[in-house]
Amino acid sequence: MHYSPVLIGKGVVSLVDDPSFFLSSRGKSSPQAELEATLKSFFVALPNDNQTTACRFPARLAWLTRVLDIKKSALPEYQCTHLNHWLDDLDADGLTLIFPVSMLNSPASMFGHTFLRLDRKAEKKPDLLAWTVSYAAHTAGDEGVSFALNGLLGGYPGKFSLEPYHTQVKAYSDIESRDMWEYELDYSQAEINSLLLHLWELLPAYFDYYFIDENCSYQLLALLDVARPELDLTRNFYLDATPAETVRALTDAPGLLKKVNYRPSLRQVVSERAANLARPDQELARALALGEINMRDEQFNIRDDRIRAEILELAADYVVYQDAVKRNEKMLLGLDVQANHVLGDQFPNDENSHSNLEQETLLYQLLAARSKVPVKSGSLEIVGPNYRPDQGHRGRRIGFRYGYDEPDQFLQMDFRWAYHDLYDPSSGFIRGAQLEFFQPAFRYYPEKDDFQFESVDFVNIISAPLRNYFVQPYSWEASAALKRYQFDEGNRPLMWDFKAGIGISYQLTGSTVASIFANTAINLSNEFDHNIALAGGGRVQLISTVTASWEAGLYGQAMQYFEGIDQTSYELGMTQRFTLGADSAIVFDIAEKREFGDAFLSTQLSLQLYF
Amino acid sequence: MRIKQIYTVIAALLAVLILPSCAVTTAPTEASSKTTGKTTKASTAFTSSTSTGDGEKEEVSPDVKAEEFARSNSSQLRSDMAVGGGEYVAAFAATLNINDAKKDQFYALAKTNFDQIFVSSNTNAKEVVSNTRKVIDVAGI
Repeated sequence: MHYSPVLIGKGVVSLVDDPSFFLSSRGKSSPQAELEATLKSFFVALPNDNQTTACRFPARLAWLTRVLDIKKSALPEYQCTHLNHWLDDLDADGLTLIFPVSMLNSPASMFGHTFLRLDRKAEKKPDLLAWTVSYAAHTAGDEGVSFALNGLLGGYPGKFSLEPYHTQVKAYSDIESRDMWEYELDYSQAEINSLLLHLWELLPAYFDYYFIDENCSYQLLALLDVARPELDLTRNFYLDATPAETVRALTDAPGLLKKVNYRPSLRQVVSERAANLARPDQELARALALGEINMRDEQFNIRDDRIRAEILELAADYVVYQDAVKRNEKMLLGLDVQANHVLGDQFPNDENSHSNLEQETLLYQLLAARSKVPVKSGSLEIVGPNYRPDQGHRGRRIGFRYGYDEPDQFLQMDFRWAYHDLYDPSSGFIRGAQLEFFQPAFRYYPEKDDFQFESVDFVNIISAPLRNYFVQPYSWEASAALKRYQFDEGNRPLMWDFKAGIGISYQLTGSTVASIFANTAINLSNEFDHNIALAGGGRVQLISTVTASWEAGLYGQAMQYFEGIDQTSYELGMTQRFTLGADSAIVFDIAEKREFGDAFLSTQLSLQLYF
Repeated sequence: MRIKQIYTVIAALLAVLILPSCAVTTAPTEASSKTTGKTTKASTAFTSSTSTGDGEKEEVSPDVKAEEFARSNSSQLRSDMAVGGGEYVAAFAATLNINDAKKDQFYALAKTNFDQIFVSSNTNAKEVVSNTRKVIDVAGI
C-alpha cells in the first residue's frame, strides 16, 4: 500500500504540510494511519454532502474504490454539487504547460516559471479564456533577507491557485515582456479527470515552499504524475528543479509532447513591427507615439493605407510598451509599492487607473484613427527562436583546463552549478543573458607540485538586452566571488571581489553584439589599507556568432583603484568557443592582464562538459 | 576584519537570494495571491463571479463574463477591435456567444463601429459590452 498516487508522497513523509489535508493526526508520516482514517470516514454521512470526505477527497475515493474493488453500492450516495459545478466550469479536455522565459531584473524570476493551462476544445473556448493552475509561495510582501531565508528554508506556505490564462498573458507577456512557450501535452480525458480530482483536494491545502527543490515547477510535475503515474516525471529531481529542466523532463517523456507554440512578448512584437517598416515610417510611428506629431501630419497622410495602418499599430503598441516599462522601472526602484498590486491586477490602460490621462487619450486617438483605415488586421507573423528552451544545453557544467599565466603552467578543474554564460551555445537561451551560480575552481601547478583552491564565483549575472530605435533597455551586471589576484611575483592572495555595473548593448551586425559598461568594484583583503579597495572603471565586449558552433569574443576592461591601493588594473583579451557536441565544447582564451602587480599574459585552453 | 565578516554574510545572502527557480513576488504572483487568498474553500474564488459563495449555481446574464473579460483586457480588446481581428476580440466574441459562422462579420463590424463601442478613452467595460450589443443588434447578427 503506497501513498504516492494520492498524496504526492516522498518516501513516507508527505510533501503536504497542511494538517487539515490529513484525516489522521499521524497522516503526514503514516500512510497506514491515513488510509484507515480515510476509509472509515468514507462511510460517514453528513447533513451536507459537500462536506463529506468523499466530496472533499474525490481522488482518494476514486483510487481506493479501484484498488480495493469497493462496490459503489457499499458506500453512501453523495451529491458533490460544489465539485461537479467546479468541474463543469473548468470543462478541461487538454493540458498545456506554459513556460514564461526568465526575466533577469527580478531575482525571483531569473530561471523562468511554469504553470499549467487547462485547455478546452478549441471550437468551444479560445486559449485566453482557459483556466490555469499555478503553484506559488505566499510571501506576504516580504523582501530582501527575510524573503531569501524564508524562501530557502521553507518558511512560506506554497499553494495551488487557479487563474484565467488572459491575466497570466497580460502579466508576463505585456507587463514583464517575457516570451512564453506553450507545450501542449497528450493526456487522455480520464487522465485529466484524475488530475482535476486531485487538484480539488490540493487547492485548500498548503505546502512549505522551497525555492530550490519543492518549487512551482516540481509541484506541477508531481501533479502531472497523478494523471499518468507511470511516467514518474519527478524521479530525476532530487536537489533542484529549474523550470527549463522540468520542461525537458516532459519533452523527454515518450509521446507526451503534442505541439509547441511560441507567444512573443510585447517587447518582441514592438521590435518585429518596427523591423517590418522602413526607417522613415518607423520615425513617424515613434513621433506619433511620443506625441511629437499628430494624425494630421502631412508626411503621415501621404502614406498609403497599408503603411498608415502599420504605423498606427506600431505607435499604439509602443505607447502601451512604454507604459509597462515605466511601471517596471518604478517597481524596481521601489518608488511605488502600491503599483505592485495595480500591476498584477489591472492593465495600465484599464478604466480603473487614470494615472496617465495624456497617454490614455493619445492611445485612444491612435486606435480610433487605425479603425478608420480600411485595411484588415495585419498579419504579423513572428517566427520564434530556432530553438526552444528545452533544447538548450544543460545548466551544470564541468571544465578541465590547461593554462599558462606567465611564468606558471597549471591544470584547473572547475564546476558550475547553474546555468548559462554569454559564451555557452545560445540556442534555447535568451541572447545577452548570463546567469551563473556557484562556480568553484581548483588549480594544480605541476612545476611546484602545488595544489590550490583558486576561486569560487557565487553569482555572476549579465543582463544585456539589445536596444533598437524603439526598445531601449539598459544592460547591467553584478558578481560576487572569492578569488585570487596577482600582486608581486608568487603572491596571489584570495580576496573577496564584488562588481556591479550598468551599460548598453547593441546589435552591430546580424551576428555581432556589442556592450559597454561602467563598473565599480569592491575588494576585501589585508593587502589593502584598511583591508578594502574601491575602484571605478569600464568594460567593453564584442561577441560574435561566427557559425552555429563557433562563438568569438573580444573584451577590454580597465579599473582605477582609488581607495585602499592606487593602481590601474586592466585586461584585454579574446575568447573563442567551439562546440563539439550537444553537451561539450572547447574554449580558448588569451588575455593580457594587469591585476595588482606587473602585467602578464594569460592563456587557457579548456574542455567544457554540460550535464 | 569586521568589514570582512559583514561582506561574507552579504555574499552568502546574495547567493541565497538568487537561487529561487520560480516567480515568487513578481507581478503575476501578486495577482494570484489575491485570488488564492480566497481559495481556502476550493470553490469560492474560482466561481465567485458566476455563482454564490457556497458553490450553488445561479443563473447569471451571459454578459457578466463578457464584462469581466473586457474589464481585465480593455486595452488589448480595444487594439483588436481597431484592427478588426485578433485573439482578444475572438475571446470576447466567445464570451458574447457569437456564432462561429458570424465571427468574421463581427470583427469587421467592431472595426467600422469602433467609436460607437469605445466612445471615448473613458468608456468602461459595462459600456463596451452594451455598446457592442447595440451594434450587433443594429447589424442583425
